[in-house]
Amino acid sequence: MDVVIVDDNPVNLTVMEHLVSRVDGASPRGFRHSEAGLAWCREHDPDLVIVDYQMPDIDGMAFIERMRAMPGRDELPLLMVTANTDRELRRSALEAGATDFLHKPVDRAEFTARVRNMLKMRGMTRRLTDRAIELEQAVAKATRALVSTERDTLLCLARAAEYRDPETGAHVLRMAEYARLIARALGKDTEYQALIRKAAPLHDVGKLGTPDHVLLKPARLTPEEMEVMKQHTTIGWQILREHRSPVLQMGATIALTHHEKWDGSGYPRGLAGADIPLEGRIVAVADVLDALTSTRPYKSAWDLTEARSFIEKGAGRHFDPQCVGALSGHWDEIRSIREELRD
Amino acid sequence: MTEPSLARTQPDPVLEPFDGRAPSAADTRADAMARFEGDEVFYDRIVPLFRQAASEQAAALRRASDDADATALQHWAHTLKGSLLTVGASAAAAHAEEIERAAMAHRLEGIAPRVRRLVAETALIVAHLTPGAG
Repeated sequence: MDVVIVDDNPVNLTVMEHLVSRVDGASPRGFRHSEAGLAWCREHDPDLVIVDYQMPDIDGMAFIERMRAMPGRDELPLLMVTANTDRELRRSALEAGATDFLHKPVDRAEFTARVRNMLKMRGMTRRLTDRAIELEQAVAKATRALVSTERDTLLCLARAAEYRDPETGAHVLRMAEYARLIARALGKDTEYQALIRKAAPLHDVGKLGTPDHVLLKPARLTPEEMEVMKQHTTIGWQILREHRSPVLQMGATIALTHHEKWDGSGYPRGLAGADIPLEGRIVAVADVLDALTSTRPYKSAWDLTEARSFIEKGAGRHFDPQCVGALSGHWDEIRSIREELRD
Repeated sequence: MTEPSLARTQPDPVLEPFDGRAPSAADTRADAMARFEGDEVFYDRIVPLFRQAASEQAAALRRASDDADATALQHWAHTLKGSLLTVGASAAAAHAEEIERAAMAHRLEGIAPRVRRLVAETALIVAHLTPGAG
């Protein structure tokens, strides 16, 4: 363990270096000039600093203040060596950050015992700090694993629903990226962006409850069948609403509201304008955009220009104009997402 | 007294190291050895360093006195005091502390002979503490 000793008197310095060298595991590093000692401490991580009080230029008090001002030096033991027994001086030194005092001339036994104790304390502090860092890293790793598992689980759920549909697994990935892009362009914070990216794939989870004869019907749905189809919004909401996870909460809202329309002509509740939760309005645009630009058994994929025209014409009727406006200037990014997440 | 007093080689009549009660070389070494708790290795390591440093510090103190520089006087008296205490020379160290306090209070009248006496005391201790004596 490195013990820095700063004393302008070479005799005192040598005495202390000699005594420190006799403490197990301690390596003395002596400096006659405060500035040199401070420079070494800036570049290294000492375990104990012993500093004389009365020195030219930077005295012991100023030295301690500068040491404490360095980052990560809060717990470093700092011993001040002084022949001065003045209480005011000692109080000032303690306020400046001195850990303790050593009387001058140093007594061999006392000096050695103090150094040994300070180093033992330093060792324990270091072990505690290291343990705290290890635990912090372990928690961070476990949290990353949980977050990853949560995303995987949600994607599995979303794909289970999509599997029953002509849509592909890549659809939920792409529309999730579009939803995040729109949220970002609307100025939402990164937490919201991450949340909607995870929750958006759950928009059609209610299709798990839609009967096959309706969901998979190759022909146009009758009005009655259409009503059954519309129920996937409320089924999705019912599947997800009971859970406390913010992702599932947002997923429930999205499932319920992503077929609402800005002009109130959507379903299931016919909400209009800002009565539709923002995440529902965002996903409405993201979902339709990807559906238009994807191949389906009953249609070929539109090119991006056609889809853009359709989305922009729908602003103020089907879609929230702000969500549509948020896409302007980001069409190259949308093209990149499509290419990266091909079917 | 078997050891010669350096004061007798000085022309200044006020100089009488240790007020005429200068310790012998054996006593000086004994004080140092006691300070080092009988550690001969330590003695042999410190004494040469002390001899050089104390001589330089005493010379610097003398210059500060000649220049009537209170700040330098205080500094060198303090530094020399530390060196003297290291080798157990407590009487000389006490004299150094008196000079340090006087200089700190800017009381420089009559300080020159006290400095010269301390310089002589230091020279005597340096002469007594021969390397390898441990």
